[in-house]
Amino acid sequence: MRVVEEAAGSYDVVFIGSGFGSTFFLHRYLDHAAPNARFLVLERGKLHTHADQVEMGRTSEIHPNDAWIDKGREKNKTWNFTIGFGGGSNCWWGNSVRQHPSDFKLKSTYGVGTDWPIDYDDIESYYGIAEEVMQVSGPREPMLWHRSTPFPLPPHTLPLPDRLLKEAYPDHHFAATTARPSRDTTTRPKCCANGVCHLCPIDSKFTILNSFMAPYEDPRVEVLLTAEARAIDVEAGTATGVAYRRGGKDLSVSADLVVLGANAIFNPTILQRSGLDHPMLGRNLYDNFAVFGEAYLDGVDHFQGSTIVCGMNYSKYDGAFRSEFPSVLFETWNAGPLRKEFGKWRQVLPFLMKIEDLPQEQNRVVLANLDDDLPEIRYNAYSSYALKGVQQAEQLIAEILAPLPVESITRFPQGSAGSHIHGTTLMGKDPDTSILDPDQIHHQVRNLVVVGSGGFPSGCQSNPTLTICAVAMKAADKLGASV
Amino acid sequence: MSDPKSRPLQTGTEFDRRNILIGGAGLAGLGAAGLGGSFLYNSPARLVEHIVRAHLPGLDIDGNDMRQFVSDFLAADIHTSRKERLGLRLLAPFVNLPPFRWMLPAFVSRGVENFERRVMSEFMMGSDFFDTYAMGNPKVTYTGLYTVYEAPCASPLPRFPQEPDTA
Repeated sequence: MRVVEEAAGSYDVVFIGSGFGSTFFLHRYLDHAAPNARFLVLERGKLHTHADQVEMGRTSEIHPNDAWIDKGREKNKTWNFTIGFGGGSNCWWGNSVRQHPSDFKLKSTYGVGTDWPIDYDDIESYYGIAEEVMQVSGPREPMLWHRSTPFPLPPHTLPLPDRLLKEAYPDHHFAATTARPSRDTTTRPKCCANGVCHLCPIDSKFTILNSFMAPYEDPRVEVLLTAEARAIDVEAGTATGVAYRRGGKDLSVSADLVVLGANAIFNPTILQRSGLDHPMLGRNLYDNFAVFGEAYLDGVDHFQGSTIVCGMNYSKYDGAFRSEFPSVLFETWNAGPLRKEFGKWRQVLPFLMKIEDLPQEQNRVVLANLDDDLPEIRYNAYSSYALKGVQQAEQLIAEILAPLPVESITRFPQGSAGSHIHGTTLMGKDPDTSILDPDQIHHQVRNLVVVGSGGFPSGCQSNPTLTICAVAMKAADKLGASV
Repeated sequence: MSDPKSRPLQTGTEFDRRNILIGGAGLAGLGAAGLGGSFLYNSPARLVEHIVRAHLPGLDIDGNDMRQFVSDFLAADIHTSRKERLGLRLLAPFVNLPPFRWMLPAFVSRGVENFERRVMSEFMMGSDFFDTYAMGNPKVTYTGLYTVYEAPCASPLPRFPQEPDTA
């Protein structure tokens, strides 16, 4: 990888950020680019190797909470991300989930939320590419919706409670689809279910650093670390470059195409500084509501699984109920405290239930002043739609776990989640109500692409990473075709 | 199979008037005994050892092993404040007396339960417990706290058969 100390001359494409969106866009776009094309990746953080991260005990020197100001009324809300080379691939847990086709058509199917300007079939093939790159493990049997390629790796071993749930829900309970590999890959050891994923001790989960450096090793690509993009230079509706700050100096670089891939918190901030304000910019920040808990089981031992999230239950995911009630994705976890009662040590099933939320304009990211360094997050409340699910969480959990011999169910105090940052630069067909077009190209600045889950109009109960990658590759193909 | 719908769920925020009244009366009644009993467990170390032995009847463990476990656990337990440990010592005589547990306020009971589970989890994961005691052999050897960054794949729990690789 060519790590440079300064930008030199002009570039065909300048990327802001080196996370999933930027990297998968770059991967795909390189195939379309000329042999002498020049690419520059501006990364705000440093490159910390896995060993460095383990030594530090964190994935970045910059703590996420130091990168924004909390001005919201929802005080339990935190936002998880990594500022550093590889972005969120360093701290994600590896769950690699395709959106359900209905997630793209929520409004037209159920009358709530907003439809995506694309549908599942538009990105199905890209999902397969992303799964291949990440060596995703998944079920052998058909899942609920169409896929044209098998999972690259076989499924993880299900623990006993998941096997019982699979028997009860043959069509709605599956081995988790995950980039924590069930077998050794050429770059990573298989997951050994140690239960620590935010910084995997054995570097097993897919990260850009451990498995997807090929785009950065292309000789056409340069990487400038510790370069914080401040704004996109725009002249007469065209992006001409990027203003960035490095080593205390304000600098700029020119570009023919800009790919903005900071994240859904910083993307709108950079757009706001760029003078690209819009009534919807920064608004509709949203995330799933996370309900953590555990079920004490009677006579069923647990923890035989081969990865942390072993099962994904879709029995409450999709149906006519979504016209009034949110979808939930229910995960069974293969790690957690044991029980203390004699002989029942392993008879406990930790779980996470992710409840769908809908974007609300009142939840937003904004710069109070354009010169401010830190954005304000004004996250005020989950939607009433999501809260219906929260209020009935106990009943939902009991229903999902009904096939198991449950002694008791404990719902833990509210978790903050915040790992799936959605909204703030929504995609749509109407420039008046959305920031990006169906290819994540800015409606007003046609040589500016904004990648990441900031563009997603719905579906936050599903982990967004795989879709981030798929949509980014689709955009790269769209723009690359005209190169 | 029991029906989970037939039972009230324990929620992390459950704290009602009944719990307060019963808990208050229970604490008053148990207070004196607790204070007396606390002399038996007048150090966090004794409390931790008591929890292990109270939950594993017949446990046969070398004294040095137990002392080492207790020392390691207390050094590593960042979840319990000094104030909470004092409270736990007062309640120590009742840690394994479920008939009395219901008399405690819900949040106290939950705190005791969580501490006990941490102690027991660390003991079971940091020893050959699942090869010995869990299999009927009371002789347990402490091998060291399960620290994931030092021995990431040493968990005794996921003993799964390797499935044929069809990839």
